[in-house]
Amino acid sequence: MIGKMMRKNDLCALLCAYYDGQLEEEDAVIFSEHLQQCSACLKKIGEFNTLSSFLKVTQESVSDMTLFDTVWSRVEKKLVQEDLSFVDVGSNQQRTVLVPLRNMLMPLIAASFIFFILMRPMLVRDHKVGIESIVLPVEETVCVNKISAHARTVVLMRTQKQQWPVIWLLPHAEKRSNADMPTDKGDNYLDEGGV
Amino acid sequence: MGDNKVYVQTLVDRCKNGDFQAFHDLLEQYQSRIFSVCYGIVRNREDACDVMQEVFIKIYKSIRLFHGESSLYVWIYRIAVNASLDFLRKRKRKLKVKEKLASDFLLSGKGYCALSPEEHVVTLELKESIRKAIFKLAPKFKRVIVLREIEGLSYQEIAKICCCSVGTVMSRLFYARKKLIAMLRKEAVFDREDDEKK
Repeated sequence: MIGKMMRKNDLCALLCAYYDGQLEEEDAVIFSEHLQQCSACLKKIGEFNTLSSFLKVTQESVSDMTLFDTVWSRVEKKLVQEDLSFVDVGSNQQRTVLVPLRNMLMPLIAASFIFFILMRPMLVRDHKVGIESIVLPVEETVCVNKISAHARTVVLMRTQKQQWPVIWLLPHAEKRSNADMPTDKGDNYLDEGGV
Repeated sequence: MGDNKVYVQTLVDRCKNGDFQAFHDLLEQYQSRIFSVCYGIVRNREDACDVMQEVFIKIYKSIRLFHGESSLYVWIYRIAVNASLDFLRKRKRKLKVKEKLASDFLLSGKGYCALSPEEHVVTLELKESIRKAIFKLAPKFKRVIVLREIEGLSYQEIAKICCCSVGTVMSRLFYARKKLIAMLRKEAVFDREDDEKK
């Protein structure tokens, strides 16, 4: 392990692990050999020792039960004040389940809305079984939205001349000539360069 | 050790069933460790008591949600560490530390008889310097340094409490120690000890 980890950052981590006695035996032996040659690492170990002694000397511990009794009596009073009992902890548990759910509600709604907006074309496509847009090379700008279906082809056509969309249904995979198109301009005008 | 584990597990089960006395006995088992961690982070006896109170209440409120995914002491340590860090975040007050430390030290009864006046002053200065230095550390470094240096937990245990990998614990410990040494050096505390030893 040590052989692979001799980059500077890894060495620092190993130094800590060696100092804390957390290295495996083999690695500890290799590292102690390294220490014999590296004065910088040795100095660091000395500094760690000093720091440890500082932290331990200034640390306080509970020497008797007085402190615990003091804290315990405060806790008891607070629990009585807040009127908490183990019976209520059950409802607290429910609250601890419901409150996170409530907090997640708005983000969930927002995420659903965004998902719907993004997925709408696909959903619409599924409903109408596919939408594609193609531009035909015609004199007038013709925009054809072709919805190809398993059973039917729906063509939505719009021309610059006509202000209203033109829709008719074609059998699947069949192309129709202009002659086949309805001649009623109002509803089914098809430009010459149509489908 | 095995008997103690069984005893603690019994206490936990009784706590979940609403036994308040069991809750008291459980906290009695862990109170010194909880205080140790809290004091290690907040570095003030009175504040550590306040934090300990919060920790007890949090344990009380959430003992029913403890299902043994981790060991009990890891769970308790996590609560204690997080409560201590929350306390520091909320209360950024500057204490009149020297007076506070003096009274703490006298109340604890630890050093009053054992130290000479000069040693007493030096220890107070050291406490103040260490308190400031630990206060300046980021929470993730505070956690690891206290759990390792004060509680003597292994890297695996610290990793479980801090929800990170052992490698992360190693690098954070190194950085925390380096930072503390640099800060203590700046306070002219660190090298003074070395000089005295020479």
